[in-house]
Amino acid sequence: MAKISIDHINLVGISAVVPSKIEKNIDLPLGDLEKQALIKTTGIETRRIADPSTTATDLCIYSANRLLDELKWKRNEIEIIVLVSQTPDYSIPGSSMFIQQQLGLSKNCIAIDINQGCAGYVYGLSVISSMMHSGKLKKGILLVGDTLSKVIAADDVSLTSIFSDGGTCTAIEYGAAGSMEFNLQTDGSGFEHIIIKNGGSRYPNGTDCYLQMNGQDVFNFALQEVVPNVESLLSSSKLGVEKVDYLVMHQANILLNEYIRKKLKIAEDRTLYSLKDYGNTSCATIPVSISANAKRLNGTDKIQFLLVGFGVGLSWGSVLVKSHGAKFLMIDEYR
Amino acid sequence: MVNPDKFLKVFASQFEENTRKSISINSAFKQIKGWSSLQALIITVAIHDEWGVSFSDEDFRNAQTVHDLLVITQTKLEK
Repeated sequence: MAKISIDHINLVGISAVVPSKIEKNIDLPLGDLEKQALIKTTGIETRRIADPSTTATDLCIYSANRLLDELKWKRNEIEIIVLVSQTPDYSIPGSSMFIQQQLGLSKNCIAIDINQGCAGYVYGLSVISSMMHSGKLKKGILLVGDTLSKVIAADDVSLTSIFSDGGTCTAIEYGAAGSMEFNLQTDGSGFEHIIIKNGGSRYPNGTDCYLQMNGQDVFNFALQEVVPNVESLLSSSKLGVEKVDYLVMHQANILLNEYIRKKLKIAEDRTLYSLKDYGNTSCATIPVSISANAKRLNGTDKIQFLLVGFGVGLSWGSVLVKSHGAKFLMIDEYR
Repeated sequence: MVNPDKFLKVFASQFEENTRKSISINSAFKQIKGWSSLQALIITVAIHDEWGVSFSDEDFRNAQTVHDLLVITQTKLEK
């Protein structure tokens, strides 16, 4: 397993924004019993849907401006920006460059795009933290967001009932207290389990450019792989699970998430969720869940998080984040 | 060996109470009231919790009866 340990790196703030349009699972074109079963199994009651002119980049920029203002960070102090998204504005160029310009960041700022889905927050944190540590870069921002509603067929209820849109910003500082320990894994044999087949270079002329997901096999993968990954991380870090203040998992569905939580023996009140109100916001679910619980978290100086992502790729990973004095902004609506 | 009575109990207990009584080891599970792709996930979690194996999409496509699922579980355990 690929384990990375980074010291002197601190997560100092998180903000999240969602579109104002709400879709309710109770309004789906299904029978009453089916809808009840769906809501009970997924744990999702409402989802947020971006309007046609709003992209994941827009949501991330909005979220970043909010957090930078709150932290009183000067734009020219930011030396790296990493964007994680599978719904960028264009195929070429990457959206991180556009964001660099939109946020008014310096030309000395590194900008990187990462194509990652539900494990993307953990992977994004590993990339930005590693680069900040090796380059001694003082301030950086990780933007994580998706508008998957734009790539899901309107009549595919199995997907429309789950996925939701959102954009987030996480501020990272190098040099002070704080640390991150990662355990990252990949299994490309499952690359077709969650896929948009057409529109890329291999199938450029396909007409159907919608997301397809083999739910049963993705579910199986998570059932088998996530818990051993986390247990291995906890074992190598020599951190007992009782030392974890909050577990925040990718918000897949309540059935799977609760299974993982129970296997890890972490109490319900130490597990942060956002599924009910915000659904599965793809790569953004972890920071969205932290923002959705901001009231509980603010005012605590030191927090030991255990963050766990898993999904498209197949790709999965966990990270122990020790943060000091972080500010967590409550979820805002995009305007 | 997977005990058939225990397997049936674990399988049936994932359904509504008034449906459980009608489920036998030879039931065609896709015909059981309440069966859906979501119910397949619920069954998968219950079997994984008890025996540590899980069903793929192909397993559910190929199996017809509860007993077929038991055989798949047994085969996976033997591997």
